[in-house]
Amino acid sequence: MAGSNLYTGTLDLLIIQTLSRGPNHGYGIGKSIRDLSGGILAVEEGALYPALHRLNKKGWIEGSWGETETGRRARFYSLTRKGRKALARETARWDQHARAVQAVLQPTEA
Amino acid sequence: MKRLFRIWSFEPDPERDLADEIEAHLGLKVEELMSKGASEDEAWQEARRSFGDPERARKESKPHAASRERKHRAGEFLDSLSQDLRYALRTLRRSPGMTLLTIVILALGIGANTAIFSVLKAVFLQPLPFPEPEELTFVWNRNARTGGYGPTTFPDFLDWREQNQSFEAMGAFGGAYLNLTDGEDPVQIRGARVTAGVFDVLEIPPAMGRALLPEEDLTEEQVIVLSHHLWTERYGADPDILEKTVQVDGSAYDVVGVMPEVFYHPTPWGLTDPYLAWIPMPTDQWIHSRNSYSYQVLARLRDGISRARAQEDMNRIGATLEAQYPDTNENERAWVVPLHVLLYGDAAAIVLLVLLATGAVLLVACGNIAGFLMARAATRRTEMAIRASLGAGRARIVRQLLTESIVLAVAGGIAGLLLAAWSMGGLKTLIPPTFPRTEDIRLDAGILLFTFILSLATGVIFGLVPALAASRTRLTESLKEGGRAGRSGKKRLRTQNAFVVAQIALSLCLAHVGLLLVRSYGTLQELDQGFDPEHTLTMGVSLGGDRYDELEEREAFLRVLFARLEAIPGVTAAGVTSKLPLRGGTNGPTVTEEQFAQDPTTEGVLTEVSSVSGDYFASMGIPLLAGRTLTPDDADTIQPGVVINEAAAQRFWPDQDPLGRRFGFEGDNASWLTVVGVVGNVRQTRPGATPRPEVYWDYRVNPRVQMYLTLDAQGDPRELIRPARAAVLSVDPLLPVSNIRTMGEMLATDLSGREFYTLLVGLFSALAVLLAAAGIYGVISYFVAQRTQELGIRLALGAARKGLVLLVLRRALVIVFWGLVVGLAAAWIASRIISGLLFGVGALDPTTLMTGVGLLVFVGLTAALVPGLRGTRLSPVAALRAE
Repeated sequence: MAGSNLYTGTLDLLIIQTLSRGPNHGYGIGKSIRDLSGGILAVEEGALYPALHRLNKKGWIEGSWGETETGRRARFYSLTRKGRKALARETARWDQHARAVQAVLQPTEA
Repeated sequence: MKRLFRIWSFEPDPERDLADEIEAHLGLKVEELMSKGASEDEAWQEARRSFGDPERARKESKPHAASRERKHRAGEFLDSLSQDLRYALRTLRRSPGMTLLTIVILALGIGANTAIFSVLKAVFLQPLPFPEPEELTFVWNRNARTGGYGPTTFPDFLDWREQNQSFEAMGAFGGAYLNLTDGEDPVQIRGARVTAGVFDVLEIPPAMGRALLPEEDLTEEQVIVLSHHLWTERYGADPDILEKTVQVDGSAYDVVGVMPEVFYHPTPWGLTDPYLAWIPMPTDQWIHSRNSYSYQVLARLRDGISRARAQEDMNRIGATLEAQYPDTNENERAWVVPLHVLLYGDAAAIVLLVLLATGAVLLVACGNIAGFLMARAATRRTEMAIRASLGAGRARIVRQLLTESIVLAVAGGIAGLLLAAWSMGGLKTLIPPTFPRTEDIRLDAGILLFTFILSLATGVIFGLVPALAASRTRLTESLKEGGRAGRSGKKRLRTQNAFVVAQIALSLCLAHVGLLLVRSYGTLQELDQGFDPEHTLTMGVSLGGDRYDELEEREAFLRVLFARLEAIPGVTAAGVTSKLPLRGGTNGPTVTEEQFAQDPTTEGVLTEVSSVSGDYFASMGIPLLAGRTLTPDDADTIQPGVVINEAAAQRFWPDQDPLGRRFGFEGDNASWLTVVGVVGNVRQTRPGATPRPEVYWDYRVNPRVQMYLTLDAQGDPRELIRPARAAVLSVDPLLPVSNIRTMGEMLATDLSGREFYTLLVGLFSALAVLLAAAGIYGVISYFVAQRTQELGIRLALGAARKGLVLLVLRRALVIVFWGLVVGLAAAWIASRIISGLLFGVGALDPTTLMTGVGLLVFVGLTAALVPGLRGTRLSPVAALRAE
């Protein structure tokens, strides 16, 4: 993937996008991202937790301890209202950014 | 399950949290890998590998976790605080009687302090209403040898102003009575002759026009500046006043300025009689004399110069003047005094005295409440033990109990505020008229803050020890016994005893002080002041201005006036004097003829001097002891005949006949005064002051402008006010009278400060003794309750009831004894501190001490008797069965 800054912002976006579909724990989030991207976006699991804490501090997600289906104790995160607003904003920005990159890469018509 | 997790995560540990999270993550990964067929070991290896470095995760999460923890902790603290509050309220509601009683006692204690503090705030703590008031000073002249101080001379003032390096501005002034003779209603007002510097010192600009100019100093310029009060009251707030003139003593003065409402002219003697107008300092016969000490000086310090430095500066100048003018300025120095202390210090000292008394009462009340709480702690031991066993730390329990105390104290504080507000009206009537700024006394935001802080402090003071004691329970012991006996119970009793000993000590101290003050006041009140306060009326007249320039004019006025005054029915004698008793302060050093002959350089004796006329002595009720009173022939200015008082006779010619002897004022060798009569002593400066030697000469020897008419009434002197005033106006319709009052009123005003603090300190002492009695009652009740079983056994074994009561009383006596021992030491210290206020009774007067001791012993035994009798009245069976 490209430079780390971009990566961080992208990771945040991916996380909150995942959570928009429902609360999940850290492991589940990483797995979801990997599966949905067809294995291309393999999140470094150790980097996931700092991201989660960062998002928590920003107030975009909140976490509470709960139980998985298999009875394991895990910390579940869910999207806050602030996070939902941020998701819309960041998605739009990503779109704009992607199109800009695309425009530059496209050969200009003479 | 979830709820259980919550309780366990009592203490947030972010490190553990994260570790758990990582652990869970790995666990889930392992699960997945295993479901795909890996073995557990392989799964764990793979999981750890793909996770990466957990250390990094931990490190990057730390700052977020820390702030999360802080928020969590804060939330938890607030949570437990509100829990404490709710629990405290519930507990207090459970024993409404005790709660209510405690709140009442606290209301009395805190309310009293609040009320008195509000007086202190208005009277003393408020700064002076001038810009940078801490720079304002008053400069006295002081004799370094005798310590006597007072106004200075004008030439000295000029030198001070010229040579000093410490003051930004300096002004001199002298009070004057100005007759405003315009309009139909002539009135005499209090005003001042000032140098323009006075306005520079005070730095408040005029509201209209201008203040006086330096060019106008020492001229006969007839310009005048009015005060706001005068402008509104007498001139109807006329907006065109600056174009008008006012008649002062018959002459027209141009109004050049009006001062704003907030302006006032500070002077040590004018708190109740402020200056209403200012005219330029005129030149007169005394302005160039270095012997005429009549000028008061206000000065403003330069920025950054301290009073001490200014004092050094002035000392230097004083030494210079002493060298230059050895005849007049020997030992004379300037004395720089902060204006704030000068004006308000005396009143503040009185209020502080009362505040100390109220503070003591509050402490005694705290002792009582602490005693209650200790006794109650015994009944709550089981509750405390259970809380401790559930994991509440000692600090937590103490905090809980302290919350209860603080809630009680704050409730008491609110009730106290209401009490203070309600009693404010009554308090204000007690406040002496001589106190400054009493109109500013009110319960404002500052007072509310004071009450709140006092309540918190009170809550901690009475709550801390019981809270600490209650939290010290030993689990098994309290759960087993549930009763009051046992080791911790004994310790509790000892602490309670200590509280009561302290209460008794404080009460004795306060009672002793109160008794001393009451005795002083009583002695002063009954004291013979030397004149008759019951039947004497006085009023001031100012024979100044053009119409009374000539001595004959004044004499004519007085002659006609006396005739008319004596014609009034009810008047038995009429006279006039230059100064009144209790208001004295015109004096000079005198030597007798014999002393002068022996040694012309003998130092004179400070002698008061009054110019009198008419039937002065009879009108004032001063008895004639030898010789005769003054006649017109005695008015010879070369060799006047004079009347002296007994003190002078004793001082100058002890045990000899003073009639016919001669003496004179130091430096005035030309005129010897011949004694023609001796009258009784009068206290010249204040009630109870030692009478100074005094000489009375006829008015014509030294005619003064400001005089006081004195009338002796057969009945009530106040009935003479109208006819006397009418008589004055009938002789001169343009001559106003001022300061009409009876000598009785003047005496009462002088004693009003003392009356105030004596009454209040006495009241609070009584309150403290009552509270101490309650304390003894409480602790003895507890003692009896503790020993119920023992007493029961003794009764069962045949002990006489009387013997048991005596046992209880003896216990009480021991406590009272220790209280008295500590109390005597405290009383010793306290009475030394107030010894300056005492009159006619020594600080350690044995009768007073014994009365105080006896009172407390009596009160203590009585208070102990009730629970003692009650406790031993139980049937032995009931006593034995009781816990």
